[in-house]
Amino acid sequence: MAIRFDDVYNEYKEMVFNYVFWRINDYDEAVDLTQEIFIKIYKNLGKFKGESSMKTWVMSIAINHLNDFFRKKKKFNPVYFEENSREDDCDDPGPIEEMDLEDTIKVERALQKLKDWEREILTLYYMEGFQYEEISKLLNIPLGTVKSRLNSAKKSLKKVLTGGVTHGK
Amino acid sequence: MGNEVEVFQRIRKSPPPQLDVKVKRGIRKLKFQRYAGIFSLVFVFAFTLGASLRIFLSLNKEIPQIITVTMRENLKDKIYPGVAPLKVEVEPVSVYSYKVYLNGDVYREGYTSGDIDDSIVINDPVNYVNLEIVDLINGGEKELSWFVYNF
Repeated sequence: MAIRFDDVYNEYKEMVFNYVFWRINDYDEAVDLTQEIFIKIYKNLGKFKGESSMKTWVMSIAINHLNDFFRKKKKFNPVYFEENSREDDCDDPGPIEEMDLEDTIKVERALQKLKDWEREILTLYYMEGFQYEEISKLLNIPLGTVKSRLNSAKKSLKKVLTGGVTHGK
Repeated sequence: MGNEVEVFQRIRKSPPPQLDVKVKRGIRKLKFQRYAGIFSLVFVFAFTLGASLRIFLSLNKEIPQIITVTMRENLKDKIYPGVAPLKVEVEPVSVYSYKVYLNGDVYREGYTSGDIDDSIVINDPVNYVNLEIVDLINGGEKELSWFVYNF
């Protein structure tokens, strides 16, 4: 059965837009980029073979498009995750609900202060509900790195919320 | 994790309604570009085909045969009292149309396979005769002109 673009769009537009927004922190630009991503999805819909879920396929297109966007804009200056900090980062910083999360605006601002890869992994895991294995495939990183990155991102978020040192973008 | 997810769900961003319009417009533009692309390809193909056909036909066009016109009598610059003969042999044998002009006006028109045996009534003292022959089968044409005088 042929996949209808409208169905894909209606089901995943929120996911794509949310992901794009949290990676670039610009609402208007997020709209433009989401449009470009869905045009790309429209062009490539015939190539979808069902080897992964539609959700993962759509997200992989969004991730690649954003990586290209940052590369072109030369904005992309990721602070790569350092392998020697993995052990430390693997210490669970504790559940996020223990943090000061009552104020949504505060959380939003704290998230904006995180590094690109920290926001990305938190968005994929907590907001979009991807599993470790899926994130590992999407970001093309080992499963262990996914877990340690997630812990590290949570730690950073906690630090920002408790008034600690911030990374900046 | 349940509560953590809830926290993040609260700060999820929803796209504005204009995203739907933008995406639809983008897809319409894409479709248009696709059709335009196909149309230009068809146009280029048709143009190339037409041009090739034209070149092929022009290269294969038969070379017109050389027509030889011989006057049976030398009529050039001769004096005739009122009537000048017109005896001409055209080679090779084919189907020709011919026109005789006398002082610029068409005097006679006709068809022949090789021989023209005719005469021209001349009234003026000086007459300019022009003969145009066209090969209707093989293509090619020949023209001949001369003066005859009437005294």
